[in-house]
Amino acid sequence: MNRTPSQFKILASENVADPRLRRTFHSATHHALGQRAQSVQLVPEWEDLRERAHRIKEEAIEHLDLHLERLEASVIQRGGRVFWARDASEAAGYVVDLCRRLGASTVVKSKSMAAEEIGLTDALEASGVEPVETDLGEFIIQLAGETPSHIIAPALHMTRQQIGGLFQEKFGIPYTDVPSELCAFARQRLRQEFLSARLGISGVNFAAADTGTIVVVENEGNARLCTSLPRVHLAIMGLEKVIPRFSDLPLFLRLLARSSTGQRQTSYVSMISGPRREGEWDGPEEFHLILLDNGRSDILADPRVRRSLYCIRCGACLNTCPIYQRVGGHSYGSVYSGPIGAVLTPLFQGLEAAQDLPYASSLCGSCSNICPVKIDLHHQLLWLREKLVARGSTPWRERLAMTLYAAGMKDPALYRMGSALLRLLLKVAGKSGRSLAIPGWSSTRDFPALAETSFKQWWKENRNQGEEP
Amino acid sequence: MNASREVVLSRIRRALLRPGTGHGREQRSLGKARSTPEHTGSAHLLEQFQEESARVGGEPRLCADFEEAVEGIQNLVAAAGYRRVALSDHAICRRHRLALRLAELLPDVNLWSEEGEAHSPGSRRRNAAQLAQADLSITGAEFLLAESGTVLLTSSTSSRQISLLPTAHLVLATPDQVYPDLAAIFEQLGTAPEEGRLPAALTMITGPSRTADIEKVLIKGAHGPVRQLTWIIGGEA
Ligand code: SF4
Repeated sequence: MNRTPSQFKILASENVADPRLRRTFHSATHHALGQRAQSVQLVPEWEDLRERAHRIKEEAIEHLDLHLERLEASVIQRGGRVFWARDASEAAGYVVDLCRRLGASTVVKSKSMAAEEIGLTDALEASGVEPVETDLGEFIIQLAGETPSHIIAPALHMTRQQIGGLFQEKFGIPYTDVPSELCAFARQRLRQEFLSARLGISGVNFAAADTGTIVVVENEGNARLCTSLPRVHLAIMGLEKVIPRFSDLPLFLRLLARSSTGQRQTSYVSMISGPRREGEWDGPEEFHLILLDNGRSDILADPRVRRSLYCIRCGACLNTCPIYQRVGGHSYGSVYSGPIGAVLTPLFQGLEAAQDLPYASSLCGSCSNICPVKIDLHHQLLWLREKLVARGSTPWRERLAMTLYAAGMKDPALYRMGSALLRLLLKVAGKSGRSLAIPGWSSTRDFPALAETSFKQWWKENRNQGEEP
Repeated sequence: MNASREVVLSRIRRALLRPGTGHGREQRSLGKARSTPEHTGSAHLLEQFQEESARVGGEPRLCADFEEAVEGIQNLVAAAGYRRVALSDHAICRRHRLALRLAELLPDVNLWSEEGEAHSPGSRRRNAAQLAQADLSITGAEFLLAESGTVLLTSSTSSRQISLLPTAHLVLATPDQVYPDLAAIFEQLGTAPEEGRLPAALTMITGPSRTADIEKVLIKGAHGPVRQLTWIIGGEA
């Protein structure tokens, strides 16, 4: 299913009208928020941790070139290889070439938003390599030909019955919708793939520049399998994943686990520094790291949105967002959804291609409050709106309304005239039993009722009351 | 080094010519970093470890001595009906000749030990196939983290796959290995780059493998072990 961010309004209204999806997203996001709140509450210094994390990310991003060079040197020193990719096709091309060299017909893959972003699975398929998604959620949506609907829980939008039907159809197994049975089937099936694949691909949650360590955080164990069993391990990361020091990790790990699922710690954290070392039992013989730009340096160039690169992809802003809770992840038409998706997608794909996304927010600021690295997400959304307005990309009606509004607010006489006119219009409309029709606005809601008298008039009549001695 | 390296780096440098703005941000003055006065292995830490491990479905236990642990393994294997058991080459297993003792005590069990298995890439796949069949693996750990009920393993003291492929994973540890937080562990391990003591893989394990990808229903044993047991053995140095 090919959704694009330009379809936001259509997709969102479809999804909002689907009661099952509404329930699913409502309960899932609130469940996650509850778990998070419980575990955050146990950390009295939480606000301190956020501030520290913000500063470390600031340090990393404001000197990104230095940290990346350091990371590169450390990885090479540990026997790994580093590839810098300007864009999606260069990154995907590197992986395809590597598969050719290894003679790999299948690769096992754990969850990676960066891989998702560059369309890696399509690129591999096109060159005759079978990419096997091994995260249970990713495995399911790959089977269904879907895209993820949540950063942390990709198959959030699907019911157990849908998944059961899918397994029955694709694998010819007897129908079951018992989650543990479905999971056991996937486990057994994927084991074979793990044991035979020559290349394992993983994402990266953090990369420590000083030690050349990449960190992969997960609950299932599939990322451990991808990074331990195959002969070659390739990790792909957006440039912004670098952190200055290995010793920064305890802080980020605490923030990430608690923010995303409310766990004290995820089941597995793998800290990988280069390939297998002499004398070790196992581990990959080669380690490759792709540093992916793909538009990140452009985001970096705008100091006002630069902070969106601090994101550690915890998913908390999705869960807390009143828009995401209602429209779900697919409405955004992009791999990144929710508030952070509404910021990143227009930056990655161009404002014009995603011009509704900065408006997919009530600007309530809940996202900024919950963000473990203190990204001021709602400000960033506001700035993107400002850019859109400056480009004249907003609809003519809105521009007209805003011009009139600005004129009225600047001139008391005009303001009085305007409000009197509006009152009159509403009265007439009310008499004929209709509310005021404003295209694009009143089709989904009524115009709010105005008070009988204007405030100015009320003030004139009441100002002296109660002031008499 | 590929051509894009310079392109990407120069793009970044150009972008950074414009300094960052703190606009719209409230700076917060930082409190003191938390100090952790507790000593490793204190009774409180052991308790905290057990509580946290149990919370995430791990199976923590204190054993008075190694004999109790050996007996415990016997009972565990019998109760769960395990047929294949894999032993790591970790010092704690070797020190007590665990392989020999279990071979005597559990004659019906297919016992496989990593001890003596070649450290060669060719043996990796063979070992993986063995381990994928195992019901239980027994390894040591380098550190235990009380804050989250986590065990830390390094690739230099056990293989990566022995703690990953079998259905159940039992860690044998000692009280002095229990630390209050991750920072203390990193300090002890010597992870600073100049110390260079970071193994190729440092793995944190907190409870059994799990997933909630189907309707948020929690399922144990997604890809890794279904059971994760940690036994802390007293009277050990
Ligand atoms: S923007 Fe902040 S809250 Fe949202 S996913 Fe990224 S780190 Fe989490």
